[in-house]
Amino acid sequence: MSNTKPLLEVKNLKMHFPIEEGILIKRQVGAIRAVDGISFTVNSGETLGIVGESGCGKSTTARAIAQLYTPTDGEVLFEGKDLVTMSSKELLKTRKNIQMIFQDPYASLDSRMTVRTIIAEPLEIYSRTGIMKMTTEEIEQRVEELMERVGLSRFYKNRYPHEFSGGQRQRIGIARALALNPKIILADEPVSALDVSIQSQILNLLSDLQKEMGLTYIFIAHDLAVIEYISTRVAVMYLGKIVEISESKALYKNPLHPYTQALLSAAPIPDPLIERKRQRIILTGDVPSPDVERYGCYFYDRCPKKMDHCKTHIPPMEQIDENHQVACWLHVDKAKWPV
Amino acid sequence: MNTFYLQLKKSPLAIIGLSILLLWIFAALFGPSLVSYTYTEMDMHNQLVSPGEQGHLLGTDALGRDVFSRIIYGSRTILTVALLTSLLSSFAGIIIGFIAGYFGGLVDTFFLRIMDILMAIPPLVLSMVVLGILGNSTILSLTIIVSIAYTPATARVARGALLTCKNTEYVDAARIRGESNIFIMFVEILPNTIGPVIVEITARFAYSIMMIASLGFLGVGLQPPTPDWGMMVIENKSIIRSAPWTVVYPSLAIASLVIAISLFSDFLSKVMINEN
Repeated sequence: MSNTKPLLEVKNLKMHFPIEEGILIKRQVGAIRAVDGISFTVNSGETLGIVGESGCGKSTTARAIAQLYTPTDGEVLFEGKDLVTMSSKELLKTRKNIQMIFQDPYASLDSRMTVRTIIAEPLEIYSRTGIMKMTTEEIEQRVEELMERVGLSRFYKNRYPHEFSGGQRQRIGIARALALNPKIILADEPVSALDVSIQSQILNLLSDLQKEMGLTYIFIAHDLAVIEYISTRVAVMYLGKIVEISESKALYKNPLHPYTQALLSAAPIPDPLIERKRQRIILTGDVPSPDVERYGCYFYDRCPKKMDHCKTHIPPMEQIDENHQVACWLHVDKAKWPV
Repeated sequence: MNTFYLQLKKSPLAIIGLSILLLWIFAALFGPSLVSYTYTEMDMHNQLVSPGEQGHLLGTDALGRDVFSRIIYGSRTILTVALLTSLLSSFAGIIIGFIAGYFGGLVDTFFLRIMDILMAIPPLVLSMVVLGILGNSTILSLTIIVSIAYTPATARVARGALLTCKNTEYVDAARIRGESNIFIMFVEILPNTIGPVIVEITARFAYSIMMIASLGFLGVGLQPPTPDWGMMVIENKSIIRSAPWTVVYPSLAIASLVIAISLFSDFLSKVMINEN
């Protein structure tokens, strides 16, 4: 897999939201650094899980990749082409390969549209713009096919979203994302709003679809168990930075970054015997505000293993082995430390 | 729609409002063919007769014109102008408010400041001055000017309604599949803001009637002999003591119509806005 070209490559992606002051003439007085320079690659057919606590920039990352936000800096290369600098016409053509599943199945479906319209709309816009030629019957057929594929009866076609349960609505959202036959799906906490029993159904559906259609996922969640179940590789985010990125099993077995260790130690284990012996690493303090520029390690304030060096130097991404990278000075050879 | 009827059944005030409104609409549509006099016809032998005498249901004015017939004819002009005004100002308001709110930033500031400038002048003063300068008011000029005077208010309502929907995930979903801004504004967002928008149109309808009657009262509305309720009130103001019916009935007509629409609009806002 390592010698093939990655499907998606994110280079030094930054998403800063300006804080403005002034009534008529706005001047920028600061910025919320929601995503502050992250890089990773996603290979075709794999699932990259992104995990982290609330406000660490997981969703912003997905939205910046999808070009819902224009990134402040950095590149998002899809099959080698940069989405950020692409013309809007080219972007429209590329976009059909990158679709998104949203977190809230209640907010993500337009309540005034029928299921048919919701699923058909992506097909219709691409027919309108002439990128994909489809007749009305073909669209109709495709909608029914998609509905059955995600486990909804095609007889529900003319119903409105409010007539469905949360899990069914998320299935509609998945059908909509699949409509254009995308290569990569950005799933932004797709199961966090659902009941646990429904979560597993949706997760199984997603992994079945992946096997069948060769899909690639970027899967965002704050639930470690969900991420472990679905991901081939996992990236851990903290305060707009990726602190550790690794092959899934290796990360769960051998977390290297102090933040990852704390995060994993917080996850309950469903075996009471082991659970009783579980040692928790309790972090002190809160996540600092992302509105100041940082010159040291982003985790410095709360790190149980901090050193003086961490305060003034941002740790680089260090390659531990082929599939494991971590951004922590503990794992950088002291000889290589900058003075 | 079923819940609409169920709610209506439970709300007597709304039924009263709707019935009065329908009665006036009926009067405006068919009244002129039912009344026995036209609005200019003068009964020279029967000036200022009291209501019920000489075949004049609501009496006659100083020129011997039948008050009832004039009120019925007047309902036609006032309903036409008010309906056009509320539709036109809402239409303009939705477009301006949506563009301002959707694009945000400088576009938003630009439109909002223009609206603020317009809003700083009370609609009545604005319309009065412009109509006064233009001279003879016609249904067309009256409609356009009152619409402009009311556009800032509707634009603000539309903008506010758009902002509540703008950052939802279904709008993101539309953008991610490459939908155009116009499509997102009018196909995705507009149907979801339809509640506040419809309530705004009906409320605007009541305001327009007040405004048109006020302009008529101030003498810058429609010109005589067009029957205009506001004008009927001012024409007969000097004889209010000796012939009160010439003033009271047109005033009652204005009041009943405005109150009826307000009652119905209150009901609509309860049903349509709470529904979502």
